[in-house]
Amino acid sequence: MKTVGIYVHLPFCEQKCYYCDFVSFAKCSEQEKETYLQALAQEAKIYQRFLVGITGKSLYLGGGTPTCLTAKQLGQLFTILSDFFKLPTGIEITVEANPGTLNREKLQVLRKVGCNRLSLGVQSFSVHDLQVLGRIHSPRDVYNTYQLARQVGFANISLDLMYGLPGQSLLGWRDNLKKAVELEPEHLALYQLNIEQGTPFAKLVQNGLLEEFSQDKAFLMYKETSDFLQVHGYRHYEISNFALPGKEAIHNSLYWLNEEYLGLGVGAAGYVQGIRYVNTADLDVYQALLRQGQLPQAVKEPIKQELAMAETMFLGLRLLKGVSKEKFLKKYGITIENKYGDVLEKLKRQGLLQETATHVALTKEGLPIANLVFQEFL
Amino acid sequence: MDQKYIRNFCIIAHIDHGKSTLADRLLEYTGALTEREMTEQVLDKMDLEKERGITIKLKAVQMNYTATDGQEYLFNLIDTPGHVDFTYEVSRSLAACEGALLVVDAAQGIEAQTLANVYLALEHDLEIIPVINKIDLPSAEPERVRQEIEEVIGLDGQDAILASAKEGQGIKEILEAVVHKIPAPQGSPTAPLKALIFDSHFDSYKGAIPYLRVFDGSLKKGMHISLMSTGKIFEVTEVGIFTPALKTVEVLPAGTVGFLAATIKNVKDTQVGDTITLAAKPTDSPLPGYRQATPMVYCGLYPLDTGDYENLREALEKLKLNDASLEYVPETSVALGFGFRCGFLGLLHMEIIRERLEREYDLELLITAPSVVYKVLKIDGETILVDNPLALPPVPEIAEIAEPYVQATIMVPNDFVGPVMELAQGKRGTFITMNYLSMKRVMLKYDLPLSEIIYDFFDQLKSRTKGYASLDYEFADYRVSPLVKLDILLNNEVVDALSFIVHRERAYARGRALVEKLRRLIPRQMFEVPIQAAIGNKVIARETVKALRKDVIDKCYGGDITRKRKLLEKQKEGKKRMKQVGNVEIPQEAFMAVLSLEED
Repeated sequence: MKTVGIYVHLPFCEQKCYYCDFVSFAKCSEQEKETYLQALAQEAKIYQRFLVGITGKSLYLGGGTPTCLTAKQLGQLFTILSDFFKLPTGIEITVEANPGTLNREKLQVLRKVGCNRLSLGVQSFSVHDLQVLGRIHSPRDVYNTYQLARQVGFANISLDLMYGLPGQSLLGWRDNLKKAVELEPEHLALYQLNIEQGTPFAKLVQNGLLEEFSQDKAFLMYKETSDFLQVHGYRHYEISNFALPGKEAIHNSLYWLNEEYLGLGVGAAGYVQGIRYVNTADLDVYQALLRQGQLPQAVKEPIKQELAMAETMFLGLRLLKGVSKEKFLKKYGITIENKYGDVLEKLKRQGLLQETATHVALTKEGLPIANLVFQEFL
Repeated sequence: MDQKYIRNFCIIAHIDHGKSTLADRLLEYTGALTEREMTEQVLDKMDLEKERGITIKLKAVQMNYTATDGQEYLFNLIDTPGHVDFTYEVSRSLAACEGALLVVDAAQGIEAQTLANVYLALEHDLEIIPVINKIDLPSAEPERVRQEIEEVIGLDGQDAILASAKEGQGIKEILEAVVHKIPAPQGSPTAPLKALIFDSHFDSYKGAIPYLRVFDGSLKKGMHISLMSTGKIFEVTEVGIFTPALKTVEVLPAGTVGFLAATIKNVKDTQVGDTITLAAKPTDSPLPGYRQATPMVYCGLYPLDTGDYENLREALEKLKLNDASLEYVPETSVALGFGFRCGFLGLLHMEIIRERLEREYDLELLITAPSVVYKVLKIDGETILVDNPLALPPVPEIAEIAEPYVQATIMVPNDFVGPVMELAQGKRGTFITMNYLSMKRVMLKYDLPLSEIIYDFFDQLKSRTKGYASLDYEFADYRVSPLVKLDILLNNEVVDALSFIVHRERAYARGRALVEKLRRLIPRQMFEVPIQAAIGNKVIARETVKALRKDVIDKCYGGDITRKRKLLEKQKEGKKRMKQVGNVEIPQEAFMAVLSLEED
């Protein structure tokens, strides 16, 4: 029996946001969504047979916009998942939600099937920002949805917000932070907007219509975010994540601890039995392969120990607590010091890394420029 | 075969006017190569040449042609490089011929390069057959070109043959004109051996193989020959002709073109322009016009990976086997470590060598800004040659500095005369003459510092004339100029590889432009990096690369770790390609940045 995190990708959106490069499709018919759920069932079935009895450690529904599904479809999805995987009571079950797509009925279904954590894609409390990003919801939707979720019993809500948006000022971001904290969510994920290739934003940059956000300003926003949230009782536990004590994201932590997880759905990534894979991003190919009883993996990469150790470092250092020396030794049979002595010394000398008796971790200075540190382990 | 049935000729043409295509057609028509053997444009052998559409290395080929009078003739076609860097080589191949085909594009007309080579050919008393090529083009204006040939060169334009090498039109007329217009060789078969080297290549088994034209006497296996510039003696082990593949023959009689092998270990001993004679019975006078190829442009070549130093040395050695004009000596830079100071005939030559090193020898190179050779008169009366800004003596020791000047010939449609004059003046040029070649085309002559030419003159000329101008130049003389050395400091330390010599009045603008450019090129580092331009101790411009503030993958969303890892790997790879100087990481482009500055 295998206990792993399970990620399920729902590639549907009402409208694609201008910055988004995730696999998602706007304006899909109900028929297309049902067909997709059937394919997901197929995929779950293959893994279930192949891995014999999978127990979920955590379940995460991401997208796209999972809440684009109807209440009935959401119910169906959970039926499928619990048909093939054992989902013990009390494990973290997160659903990503767009505030513009939720209603009481959907929230109630989600609660009923065991969903206990809501990750709400707020992005900003400013109407202007939301329009710039191509979001379909308004700040009002955020408040309404949030209250509704509390009413139906969601006791663990995370808000996603982005900074470094086109034209955003430090004051504007401050205002967002204040409004986010006023809602008293259990968890906050705060990212800098990244211009990804192939998105409408990337095209604007190419054509000189959008300037890349000032690094110096982004740094100030980052720093203020960390200071402000800590004052308000949130722990800065991962580069971009903050939580009330005990409310750290369990599923996402699996990634940072370099543990294995199953990824289902078009474009989904997984890490199972030492192999990382990424499913095809083509919806037709995904469905066709599954109809033929084949896994839709487009990329498969076995992770040898050398690489696994490097990944453990650059993922683990994302956590402010750092990488546990004891766990590293237990997993790989070599101490971090023996493996990465020179690199550690160099990074410590540069003031980017610190070491305690039990952990290796980024310094406060190292956090915002952590790519410099991560690279050293590759 | 009797000398009177031999014709030795070459083709003079501007880049893209169709020289190689015409050569192919001639080979095809005379059956020197069957169509099946024809690969496109046999005379251009190296990949680089094909890509750039120009001929770098000379080649020669023999053809047999039965003329309409029924007589069989032996033709030797000698190919010539078409670039200003190789003027001397061109002059030597011309010296091996009695005639030349002047190929002019029917749409473009005569270009500066062509004109320079025609004048060279006329100096060597070559018979010139004008060919107006590409008459199949819709934009062809053969009558205008005829007029240009008359007015610019002074040849009878009505005699010009209309051809389209691409369509095979006019080929027979050209071959007949070669027979009837180009004189047969006039050398004496009985006089002591006198042969001219016009090219060579290196064969790893046979040694240096000079390509030659026999003027007097004849050449056979077993002869002891002497090379007149050095007096060195070799025994001939093989003589042969170009078919175009090398083919051994018994004898190379007077008037013919071919090659010899004589276990010559070094191409330096087979200098282009040198005269070959018999050791026992030498000719009393060598052929005129020999000079050693002297590099005009120098730069530093450094391996990006310091571990490649030996590989770079070996690669340079190998290239030098085939290229006597390439010079290199070891050099050390504080910034770049161990490398070589290399001398080239010009910028194209430099570019060719660099690309060959990178492609054929798989080396990653850092190249410093090219420099001309300055003559520095010291106050103690000594004159030294300086091809590296770092070798410039301290200011108090310098009495004066002289720099090489060239005479540049620029041909341009008259609409662009203003912009060209403005450019030339801006580049410290001295106006010499202006002549109208036709109603619409003008030839300008300017004296210009060579350093300005290698800086960005050609690019500027092209952009200001929408690509219509053509340029040729030849070395004129050395002139004293107020020159200073400009140093660049990164993080308060001089980066020696970035120093350059510049006219005093230009120093401020160029220093300013360079530090601004460097600020854009040098990525943010962990700390703030000041960039300064200084003359001696005086800082004339300053910029700052701010410290890296934020560089982190924010999201590890959906668990696609591989993609994030690849991102980091790419970032790391980019860093590896940078050069660490002190504790500053500098991208390669920075070392060439001085060449493409936009001054106000």
